[in-house]
Amino acid sequence: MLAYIVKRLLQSIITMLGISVIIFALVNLIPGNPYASMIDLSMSPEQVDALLRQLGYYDPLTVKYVKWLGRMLQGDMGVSIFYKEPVAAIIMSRLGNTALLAVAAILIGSMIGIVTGIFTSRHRKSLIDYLTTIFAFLGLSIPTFFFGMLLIKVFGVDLKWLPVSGKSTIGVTLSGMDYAWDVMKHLVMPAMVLGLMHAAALMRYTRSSMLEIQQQDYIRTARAKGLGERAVIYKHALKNALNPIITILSLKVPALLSGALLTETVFVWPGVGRLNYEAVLHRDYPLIMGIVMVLALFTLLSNLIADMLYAAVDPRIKYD
Amino acid sequence: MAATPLKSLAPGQLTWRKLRSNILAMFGLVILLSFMLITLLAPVLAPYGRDTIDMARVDQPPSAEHLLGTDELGRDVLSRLLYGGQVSMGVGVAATFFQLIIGVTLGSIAGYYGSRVDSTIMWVTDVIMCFPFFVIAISMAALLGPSVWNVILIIGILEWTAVARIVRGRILSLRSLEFVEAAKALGLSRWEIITRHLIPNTMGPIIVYATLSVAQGILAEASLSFLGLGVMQPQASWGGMMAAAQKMRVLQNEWWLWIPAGSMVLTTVLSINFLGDGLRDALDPQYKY
Amino acid sequence: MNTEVDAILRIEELVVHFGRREERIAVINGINLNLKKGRVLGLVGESGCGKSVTSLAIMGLLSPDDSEVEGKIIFDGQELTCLSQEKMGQIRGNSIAMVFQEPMTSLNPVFTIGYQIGEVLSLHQGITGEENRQHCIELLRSVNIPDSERIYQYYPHKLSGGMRQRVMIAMAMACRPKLIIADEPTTALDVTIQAQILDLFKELGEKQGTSMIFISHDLGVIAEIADDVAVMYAGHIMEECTAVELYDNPLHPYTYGLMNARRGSSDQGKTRLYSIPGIVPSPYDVVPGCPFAPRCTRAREVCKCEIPALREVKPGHKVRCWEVENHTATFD
Repeated sequence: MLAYIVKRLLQSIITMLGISVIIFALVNLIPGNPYASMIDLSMSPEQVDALLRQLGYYDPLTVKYVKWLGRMLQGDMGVSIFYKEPVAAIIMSRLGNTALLAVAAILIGSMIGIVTGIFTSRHRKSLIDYLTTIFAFLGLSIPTFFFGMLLIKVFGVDLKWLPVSGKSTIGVTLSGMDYAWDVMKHLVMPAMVLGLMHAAALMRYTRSSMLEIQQQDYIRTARAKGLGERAVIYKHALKNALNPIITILSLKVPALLSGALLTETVFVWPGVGRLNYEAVLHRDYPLIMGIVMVLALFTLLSNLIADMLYAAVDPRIKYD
Repeated sequence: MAATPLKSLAPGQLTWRKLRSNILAMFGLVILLSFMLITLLAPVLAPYGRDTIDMARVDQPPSAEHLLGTDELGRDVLSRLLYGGQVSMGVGVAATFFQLIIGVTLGSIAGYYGSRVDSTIMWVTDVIMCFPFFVIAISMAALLGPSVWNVILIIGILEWTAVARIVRGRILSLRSLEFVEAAKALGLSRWEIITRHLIPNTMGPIIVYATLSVAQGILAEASLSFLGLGVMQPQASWGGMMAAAQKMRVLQNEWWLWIPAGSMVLTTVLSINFLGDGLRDALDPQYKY
Repeated sequence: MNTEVDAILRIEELVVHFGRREERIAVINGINLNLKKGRVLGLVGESGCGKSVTSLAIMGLLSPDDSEVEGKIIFDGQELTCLSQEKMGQIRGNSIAMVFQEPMTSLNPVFTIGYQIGEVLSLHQGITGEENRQHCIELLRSVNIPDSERIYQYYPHKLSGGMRQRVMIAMAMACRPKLIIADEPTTALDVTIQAQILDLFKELGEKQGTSMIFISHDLGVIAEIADDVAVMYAGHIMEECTAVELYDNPLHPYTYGLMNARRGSSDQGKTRLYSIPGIVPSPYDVVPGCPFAPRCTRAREVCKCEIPALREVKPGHKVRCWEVENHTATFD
């Protein structure tokens, strides 16, 4: 088991290097001088020169890369052109909001998706099966932002049940439970948009996984032992479906982050996605690169965690 | 019932039979072909030009003269919708084409040559797949500037990894089969083996993937254009038309500016997904209709 | 001998259909079987003759979505075909148990051996905890698995095919069932392991007086283990008698063909390998008359028109064949 963890960690590090190379390449493609934002105009030419030398401005490409990587690893992602503050700090301040949205979306999506997936695998060709299939297709085909805008129009504008944007009501100071409730109201629509699209993908995948598993010999054995349908499905079958479900959950992480970007933009939710979009509008390159780096690394991390979970769930993998 | 026994049908005919029996897939095919037809015929069908401005009739709701109303420059929404379809669907197809060229080539090389070559190519796909599409797409759009060709380029460069993996997987399993040995014994060069024998046997999954990826391409273009990072004015695209709704006034009161465009995207992508799903089932040798 | 009283399992006019509407086919065409207590019934036939479907029908494991079971299956005085799934669940694994053909895929890969055997005990006999564990280890020992304490904790992928099959047998025997159905339990195993597993079946049968239905296409295996034999072809029973009688006196042309095929393979190559001409018909190709007629060397006109009934031509020996009935068959 330990050997497996070590192997995966090493692989991840190599992938991380690849990610850093790509980002570094992009950084150097930025029009203008990427080091411009780090120079304080009040410094003397000698000070500027010394600073540039330290940062690697005069160095060949490989040395530039190493110096840049070193700074990254220490958490120095440069200074935002627009906000005039360290990129790392800005990202950190918004990360929590995206996390809140993402977690809510995953919970909603997984619950709805997995439960309906299991149900429809047992009741094929029923009305619910057809309805959920159509729903799943709709969920996979509708543009995220269009869905968001429709919800805003219906629930926010026409019916006025829910607030249309932001994380909390402006101009009002709330605390404790009142604040939490206010945030919840603002969270509902964006989380539903992101969550339902997640559910659509998960639903079909769970259904086909469960169907495939139910064809297996060991399910026949379980029935032959006299186990009731519930035990057969929820114990014997489901435990084998965990692996494919974990697979797709982890594969969907990048899609979730992409979706979060669009959802946050439409709902003006103050998360990293919205920050990314604003940074692009302002052509705030240090901030853009910082966000890309953080999110790519986060995806890598979730892949790693997923692999660890496989090994925990499937006894055959420990001996790889 | 005296029907042709299943065994005597050619693979193509059998696939078509199975597909035909799938209502959703047929529905999707019909809608898709209709949309393609009407958008291609936009110059003929559109009541007005794409850019025809009429400042006297700005932001008008649907009427007899303008079936879907007018936008903020007095342009006819219906006409722009038709022309926009050309761009949106065109980008989807072109981006898919681009992905296939890169992905099938790299995937087959990886699958056939194996070992180091394979590991390297797989490492590259792993790295690229760590970047969430929109996050890096908008960043690249910021660098390259918004335009139709840049959108195609961005989608193509970022999304070839999936088909590469599919092709690689198939070739890995086909490689050990006997007909490859036979081909080598006949003196075929590696390149000939790959192009004439291995890839044709991978066509099934490639076709399914290509269909579904056109849908993804349309969604990607719509989103990028919506964010102002894709197709720029005066070119029309469904996503670009929806960008107007970022203003609350439009969202609230001027539904004709964005709901038709959004519905077109939804319907087109839905149809393609139905079709692609049906193709996947039809190409599955074990699927009984 | 009063066969009614001694019969642990009685099958009357069992008919099984698969598929719906245009695709509806009869896989089992009205078979009758009597299994006496403590005896082993061998069910012989090539693949596709319906022997596995028979066993699944007895166990109630055929999916009602695409199969239809008609007729009576009376086990220990109880009619099984009209029982609810819940009631059937109380019988499965408990009074009737089954061992399947593929040991490599018949065990759930994500649960330990001990867990899977223990399930049967806790479900039907309410045994839990340490008592359950001890019981399982004892069961593993009884099927000659060495080091049973360690194997108890293993996952299936660590065991060989032969070992997994022993586990399946242990699972089947756990609740001391009155009837065990073994569907080609040795077919997927190496020849040496086959012999061991067969011995195990014999041993358990003798020790606990369990009645058995043993399904196989291999006449050698049947010869080793069966007391009585029924030969199946295309969903019909073609011949039925004791094992000894079958090997001494095979009457049906199909049985005779099977015997010859087997004998041919053990000759030193002096005679050509004999195989029955033609192939097993698919259930879709329904022909009038005797289903074996197309391949039968002794087929006559009547054979192609009307299917013969299963008749007792000698005491305790039933055959379904026009030739044999009319005593015109001579085999050389």
